[in-house]
Amino acid sequence: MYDLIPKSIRGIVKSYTSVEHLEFNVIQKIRKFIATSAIVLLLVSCTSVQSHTPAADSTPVGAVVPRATLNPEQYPLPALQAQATLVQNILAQPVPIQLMLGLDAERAQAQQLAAVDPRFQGDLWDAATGAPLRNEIFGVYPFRESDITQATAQCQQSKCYRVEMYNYAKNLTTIGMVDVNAQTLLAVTKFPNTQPDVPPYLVDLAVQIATESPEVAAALGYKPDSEEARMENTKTALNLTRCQRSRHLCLAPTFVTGEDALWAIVDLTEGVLVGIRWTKVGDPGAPTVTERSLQDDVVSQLYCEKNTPLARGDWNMDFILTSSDGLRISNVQYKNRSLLESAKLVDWHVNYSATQAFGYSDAVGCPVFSQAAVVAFQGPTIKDLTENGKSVGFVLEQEFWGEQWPQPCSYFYVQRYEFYNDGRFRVVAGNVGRGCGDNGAYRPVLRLALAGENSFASWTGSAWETWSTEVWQLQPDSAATAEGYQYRFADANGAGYYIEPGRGQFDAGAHADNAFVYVTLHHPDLDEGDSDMVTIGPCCNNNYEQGPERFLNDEPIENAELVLWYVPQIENSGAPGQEYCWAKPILDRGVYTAIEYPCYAGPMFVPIAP
Amino acid sequence: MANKKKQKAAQARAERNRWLGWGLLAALAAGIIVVVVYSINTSEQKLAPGMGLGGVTYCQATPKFALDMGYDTTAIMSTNETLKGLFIYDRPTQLGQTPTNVYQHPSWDDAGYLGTPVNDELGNIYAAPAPRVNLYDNPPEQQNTIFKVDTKTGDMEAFVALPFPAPMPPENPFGIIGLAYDCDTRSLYAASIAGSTRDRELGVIYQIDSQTGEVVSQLEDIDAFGMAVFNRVLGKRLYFGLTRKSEVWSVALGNDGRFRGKPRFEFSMAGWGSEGDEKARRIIFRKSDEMIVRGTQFNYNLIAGSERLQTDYQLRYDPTQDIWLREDNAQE
Repeated sequence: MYDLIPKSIRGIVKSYTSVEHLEFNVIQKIRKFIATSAIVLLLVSCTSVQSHTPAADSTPVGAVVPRATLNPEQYPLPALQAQATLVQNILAQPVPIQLMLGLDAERAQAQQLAAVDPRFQGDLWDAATGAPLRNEIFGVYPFRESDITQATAQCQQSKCYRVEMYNYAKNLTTIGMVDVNAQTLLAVTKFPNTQPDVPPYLVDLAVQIATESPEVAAALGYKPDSEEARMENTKTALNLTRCQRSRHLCLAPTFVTGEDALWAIVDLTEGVLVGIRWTKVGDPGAPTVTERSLQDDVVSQLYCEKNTPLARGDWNMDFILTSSDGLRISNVQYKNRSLLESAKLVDWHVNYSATQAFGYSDAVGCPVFSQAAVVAFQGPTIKDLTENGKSVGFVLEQEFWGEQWPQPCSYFYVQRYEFYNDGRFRVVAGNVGRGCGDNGAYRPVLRLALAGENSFASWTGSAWETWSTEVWQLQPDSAATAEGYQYRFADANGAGYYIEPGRGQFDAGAHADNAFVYVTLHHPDLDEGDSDMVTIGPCCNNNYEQGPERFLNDEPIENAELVLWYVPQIENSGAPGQEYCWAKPILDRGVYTAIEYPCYAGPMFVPIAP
Repeated sequence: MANKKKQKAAQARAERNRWLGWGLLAALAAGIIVVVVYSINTSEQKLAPGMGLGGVTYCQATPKFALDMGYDTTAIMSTNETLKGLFIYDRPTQLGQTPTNVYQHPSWDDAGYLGTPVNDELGNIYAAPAPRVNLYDNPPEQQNTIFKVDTKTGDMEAFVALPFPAPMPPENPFGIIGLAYDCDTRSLYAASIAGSTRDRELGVIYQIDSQTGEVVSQLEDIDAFGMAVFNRVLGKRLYFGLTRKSEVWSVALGNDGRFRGKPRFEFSMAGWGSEGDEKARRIIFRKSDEMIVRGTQFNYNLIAGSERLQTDYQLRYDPTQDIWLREDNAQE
């Protein structure tokens, strides 16, 4: 048999078997191993093909910085102040272009020839108002071979320059090809949503903003020198960061510490730090850090993937950004007494036409991996509530933005939870326009799961009438007490809360809530909204059919676990002087920003005095 | 006695050696077989005679019911952002012109908002639900079903319900997000990301027999978006965009349309366009060497299409290197 083994492998077999002390059981093991390996290999060859895309990035996260210019008293930045003054002066000139200084004679001539040409000036002013926009020449470069077109063919025999201008308001690059020998602007090309190479002084300014920012120093553990910032001012590196949402000019000074790099995205249109993001140095698979990726990563990791406990004064709770139900608070306690199991904003129903059912059901929530149509760009904020200059509590607030806001059909929603030192609290839904029209009705669907067992009652005008079974009511269909309380819920001991709907008393210029109120039996076992809810209702119903009615089954609700659904109805307006739930773009220092006309709705909960 | 013992021991050793030799020989033979089988199954297969180079949508026909209704072969079957379901209308003569002669069969909005449809050689239309802004008209349980509009009657009915690799999580409202048709093999390809989460990539690309609805082969654990089949001299490949990265990958197909081998990276779109992080939502092959990639934002959310920019990028096939090179002159 041995002779049957091919000669070429006999040697291998021989040398292997010549080991005198190789025991029989070892050989058997080898046999088994070979046989098993062969079977495994055969099985592997028959299995379906699998992909091998890289796993999600696990780099430590950074922070989104509330967009605010550095406090000049705390962090003096003379260059930023000088820039602001210069911009104001330029905007007052007949031709609002900030020209480049320090050019040689030929380049300066090319710049001048371009700047005075009407073709080059096409986007210097706002088309509707004629107001000047912020424009700046970023560079004047010798003509390149790649710039040759039919229009610039003469440059092959002449002296030509490429003049690059950036329009901050429109995020637009205008390029003029100038023949200085012929004293002519040969061609003008415009590139929307594009930025040219940034001049050195703006690079320096970005570095200064980053190095002076307390967020950068806090992340690094020390205040960096400007030299430590590795500026990304070449064309290739400039592509590595973008401010896609603000559509502003941004640069990213990067601070390297060991194997980690801290990106500080600086918005040069506003002169502010957008945020910071840690990455690994030299990781070729690392995703590009941009305004959007930074915001999405930070918000997701810090607020979407885990509950955050919040303890302030006598209040305790958790909060989390949901996939589609906005900012949810849970386990809400006041002085160690549980009040709410949870509260959240399920949907925004927006209706523009009662007859044609035109509108949207918008969910708000996390920026990525979510069912939200309008998403959070930054995490929630916690601020003091003050009355007459005195702190009376705090507010937990979350904003959700459309990327095109305040352009038509883009939205800006707000969720606000107000907690007062005296035990009151208010659950608020807000809208800051702009939406698709000025004839819209906004209906936010608020869901509050009350803690413990309660009974729910409405004021008849003379007494509290307990609701015995699941039911809904339009808020104006019942009366209010002299204090404005229209509903109440209380446990068997009478401890509970009055509910004071909004009638314009909470916010200046606010309209009444005109809400649909539903009370349903809480069924934790059926998940009637305890977890993230898919769209609960259509956009355009004008009646009580906003979604919660599907849980109305005439079930008894006295002394029971209850869910309160509160759906205010807010009509927007864009009429001058009456703007409500509205926003419009305006020019500020040559750049478009927004003027806001917010509307807020939601009831106040007032403790029942013992 | 001692000699006998020695003889016995020698015989036993010889026996063991023989077994070991045969074992090694058998393992070697098995290994060779495995390698050969694996390489046959995974290597590219040269195009079969009769299969032309370039895109493979040459056969796609106008539905018969549409022709019967008076539409011509240029009529547009549309599933857009604002109208629910499928529509047909005359091709506008000018860009931006309001569509005319718009028709919607009563069954065409039964599946809610739909993604981009594809036709087969008979004029049957295949489309899958695609939620827009919310899930009210697109319930999660319907997101992994392909619907078919019959070329003769115009009736739309469920064609194939693809399996869910995991229950639909709240963080991902999408199922099928890409469809492609190969006229050579009459295969319908569907990219589904149903069940995928931030941490788990569970997407599947299915090859489906367009006549029976049977799943013929599948490529697992990959979240793909826009897709199209392209014939090279070296063989067929299905090109697809990734949803998690700005990249286009491809996988070899046999002449029967089955997946062969592992997917490979083709090119990155990172930094392209004004957004810099677009994903390939559609891939279209024009001529024998031109690819159009339509890039847009995709972050597994329901942000309205009106909030997202879309950009078309043009690439040219270099057969000498078997790669795609970007041709359009967009500013970066």
